[in-house]
Amino acid sequence: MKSLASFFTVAAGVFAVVPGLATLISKVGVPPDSSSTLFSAVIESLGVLTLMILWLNKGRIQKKSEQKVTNLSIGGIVFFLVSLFSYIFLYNYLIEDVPNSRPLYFPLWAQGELKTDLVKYGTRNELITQFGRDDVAKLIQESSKQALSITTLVLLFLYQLIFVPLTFSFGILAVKSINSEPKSRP
Amino acid sequence: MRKGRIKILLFAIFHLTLMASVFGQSENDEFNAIQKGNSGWLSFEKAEYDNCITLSKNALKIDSSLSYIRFNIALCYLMKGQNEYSISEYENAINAAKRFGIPQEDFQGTIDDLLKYAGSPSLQSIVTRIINEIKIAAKEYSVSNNVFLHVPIVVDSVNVKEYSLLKLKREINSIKISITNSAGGVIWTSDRISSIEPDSLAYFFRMSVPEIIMKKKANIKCHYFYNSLEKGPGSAAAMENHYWDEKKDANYSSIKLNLISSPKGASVFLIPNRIWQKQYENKDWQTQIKSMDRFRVDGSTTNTIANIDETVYVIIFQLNTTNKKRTYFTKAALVQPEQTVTMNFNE
Repeated sequence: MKSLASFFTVAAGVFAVVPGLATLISKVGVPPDSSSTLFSAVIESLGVLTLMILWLNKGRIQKKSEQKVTNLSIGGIVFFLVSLFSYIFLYNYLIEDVPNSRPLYFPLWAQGELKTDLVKYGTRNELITQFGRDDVAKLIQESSKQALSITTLVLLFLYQLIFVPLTFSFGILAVKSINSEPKSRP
Repeated sequence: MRKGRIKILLFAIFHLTLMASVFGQSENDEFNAIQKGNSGWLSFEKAEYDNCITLSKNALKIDSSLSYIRFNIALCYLMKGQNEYSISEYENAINAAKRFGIPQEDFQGTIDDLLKYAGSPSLQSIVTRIINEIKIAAKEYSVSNNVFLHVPIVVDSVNVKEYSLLKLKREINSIKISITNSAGGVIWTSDRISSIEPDSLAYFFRMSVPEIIMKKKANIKCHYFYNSLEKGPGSAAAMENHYWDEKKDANYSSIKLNLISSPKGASVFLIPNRIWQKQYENKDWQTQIKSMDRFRVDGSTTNTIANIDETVYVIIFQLNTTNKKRTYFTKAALVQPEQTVTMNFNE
């Protein structure tokens, strides 16, 4: 039982720390031209915060039945899967691959000149063909800055929702497992 | 239980320290290096050459890209009479300047320092030799390429509403571009560019950048100049404001575009397709060539080169009174870093 508690503790710690550092280094899943520092710092902070909150509430968690804790943990994993799939779907919708060049990051909705030109040319691909990848990048930055910021916030929210439930799921099991350890005789 | 709490606390402290060191390190380094370099120069002015060398070397340990500090070290050795060592340090400094970049005026500053502090007749031959080498390095900065860029239109921080109530108006007059290295040090600054094209929310312009600077990975800073506030026509209030805006990770135009015509000698205009469609398409563009001057590839006629990014351009070739145009769908830099557009006037 002790080894199981250690396993859950280590797993929770790993999910609290590793994704943030991995994001900082590899920029995986971070939208193009967005700050990987921002994404990693948010994940790191929320991961540690989740662990701290679990630890603070360990008394209440340990009083809960094993069934309840298991359900909460499974709920966390389901949340993780839903967030992961949503993020992948949204990421693929927002990021337009440009052959042999850097991908372009479009906002959830277009504003101003970008909106007009998208209506004119019909598709993002056609817009890139007509204006060129770099000019469209400028067009997005210039005319849809507000929409782009909100899109980044939505992505950031979903991104942290991938890792926080994982930390939560393993963390809550770790806290519960510590309680279940056989007490040594004095 | 207490042990567990301590472990969690230590874990959190370690974690926060790690993150703070990762995020805060580079900015502190840059500041400390410049500060140490400045302290070194103060020591030099007090003739404390050994102290200057120590401080300068410490600065370079923090940020080795600060080329001007190497020139200070070399000057210290010269002042100490270690001439051969000084020459070798100057050579190192010139190589570092080529590698990391240096503002062109710093070359002149180095020459001025040599003439000011090492002007004694006994050092004349060495100083002349060093100055010649610096001048050769500086010459590389005179080979320029045309670059076409966009910078964002920034919000005027002056309270425009208040001025408009007083019937005052001010407009952007020119911009100045500074190229900075990864540590934020300025390695090159353009002259004021007044021929700028407002393009919805950005300014489009052309500038000449030394070839040696273009080879470096760097960021671009834009300095916006506004004209004096004018109250009605004519009278100008003595007021001018400057703005800085940093475009991080903005690389130079990375595609070398060869512009060739037969016969040679044609002027070339590079107009982004987006601007073309909004301003010139469906109009008699042949009569509007004068208004396109800001898009001209300056300094030369065909055959010439320009540096562009992955933007689609409408290219106009003008030879005597004949104008010909073609739309050029720029290929990705990764596929073809050097591309060629030809125009045959004989057809």
